Amino acid sequence: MKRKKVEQISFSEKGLRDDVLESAVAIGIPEGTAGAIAEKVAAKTAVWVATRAVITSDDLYRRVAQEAEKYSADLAYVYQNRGKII
Amino acid sequence: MVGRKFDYEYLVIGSGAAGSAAALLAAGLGVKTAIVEADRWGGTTLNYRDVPYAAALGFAQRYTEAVDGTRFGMSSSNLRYNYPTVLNWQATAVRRAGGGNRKVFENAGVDCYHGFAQFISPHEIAVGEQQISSEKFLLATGTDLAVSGISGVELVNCWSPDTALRMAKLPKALMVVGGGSTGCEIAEYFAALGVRVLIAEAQDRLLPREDPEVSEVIEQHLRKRFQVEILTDSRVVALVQEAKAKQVVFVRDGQEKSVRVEAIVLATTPEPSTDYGLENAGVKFSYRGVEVTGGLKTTSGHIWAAGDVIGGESSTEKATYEARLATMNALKKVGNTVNYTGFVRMTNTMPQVAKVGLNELECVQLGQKQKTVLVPIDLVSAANTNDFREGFIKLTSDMKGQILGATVVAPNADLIVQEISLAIRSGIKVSELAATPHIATSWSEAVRIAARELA
Repeated sequence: MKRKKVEQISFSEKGLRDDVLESAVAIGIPEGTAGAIAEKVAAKTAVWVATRAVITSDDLYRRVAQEAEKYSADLAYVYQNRGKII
Repeated sequence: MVGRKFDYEYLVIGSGAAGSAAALLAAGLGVKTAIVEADRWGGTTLNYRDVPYAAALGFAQRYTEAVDGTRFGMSSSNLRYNYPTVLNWQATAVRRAGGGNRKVFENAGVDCYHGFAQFISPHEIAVGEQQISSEKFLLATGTDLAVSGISGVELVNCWSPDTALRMAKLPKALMVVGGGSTGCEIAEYFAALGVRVLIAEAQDRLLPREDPEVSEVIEQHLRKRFQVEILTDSRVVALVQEAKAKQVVFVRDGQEKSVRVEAIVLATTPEPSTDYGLENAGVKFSYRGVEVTGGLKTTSGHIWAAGDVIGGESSTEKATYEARLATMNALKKVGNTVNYTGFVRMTNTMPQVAKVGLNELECVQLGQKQKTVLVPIDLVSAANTNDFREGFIKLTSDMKGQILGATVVAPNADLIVQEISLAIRSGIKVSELAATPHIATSWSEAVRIAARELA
């Protein structure tokens, strides 16, 4: 049976933290606050990721959005629409 | 016959009451079936709830009856129990029921995968590093504990309804958070073993979904017999870990209060377990559960769901019924829709509470015209011979005598309610129930008396 080749990437909490920080600053959240949010979101997401061996990138962005929503609705929106916002 | 595209024809996620029933039925139909379980084989029902609870509560109630047996001639001054043996007894019951045993499935020809399932595409899941595809799926993932809204819950070690009965050491004082069926059962169990128990419920009475008379009987029973401290109108907002105790902070009458206990059991309303990539499979869900049609099909045309994951009342019978219906719909395209008439909601305190059909509150909410009668059980001979007088039977019918529902609060309520369940399903009228002979010395005699008053 042929299986579609899927690119596998390993998760990096640091990489996610940098990504969230960049997104937060891009939408106008002050740097200090953005840093704190990125730290918390990345940490909580990392805990969630550790509970499953394989997830899709959509799963990851949905989880980040869920965590980000606690701190910033705008940041959550960015991750809810990742890949869709031009 | 399996198409060349998929590993399986039918893949069941979860091996609890719903998952087991579905997988075994599918395998029996000759379908290439797999089942995935993240925790113990047999799921929550076998390992953590129905079976161990029945064993534990059965022991506690027999022990309590023995302690109270002096009036019958029993000498109980030296009566005691051995707690490790109590725990062993529960474990034995679970093992005998098949908990933790995947051979049940393997022997039936079901392939078993142990691990957390995550949907990665509509027809594919990942279990660990393995990717498995299936033509059709059944979601039977049950529920998870829901503790949002309680600050500090992640930092304080608490017990859940699944783990509470397995405490290695009994605490001196225990707080049960949540006054529903499970909370009341847990409170009674530990109180019967001699633990000082407090129970906190955000609403104004325990068992808030039942009729008010039920709450009155159970609250009085827990207070009077077991000295359980009942904190109604008390919403738990925070937990704090201290050096040698745990502080439970709750809000009552707008004021913040707290108590210190050794152990906490969170018996809050669980939420359907839906965090495993259902979006990747096109399955719509909410905090109430997975959305399904009357035939239990989800918004994804090749995925069905059954059991607690779809929300609604929680019971093993309901989960098993749904699983079989969904599986027949999925594999044989039968097109059946669910009919929940006659399913019972149980609370296994002593007295037990069994509710079937519509209660008085629900009739009022639905605008259903009804006649209701409440018969205290101390009217029957069994109350006298057992010297137990707490409870009643409340029977409701429509204006034409069709039985709409009943609430039974009595010893053996689980047995008493069955004839009423049958009556509702079969359209039997109160007059027929009243005319049916009942054993004069049984608790069920109260059903005949209630039916006669209503007829």
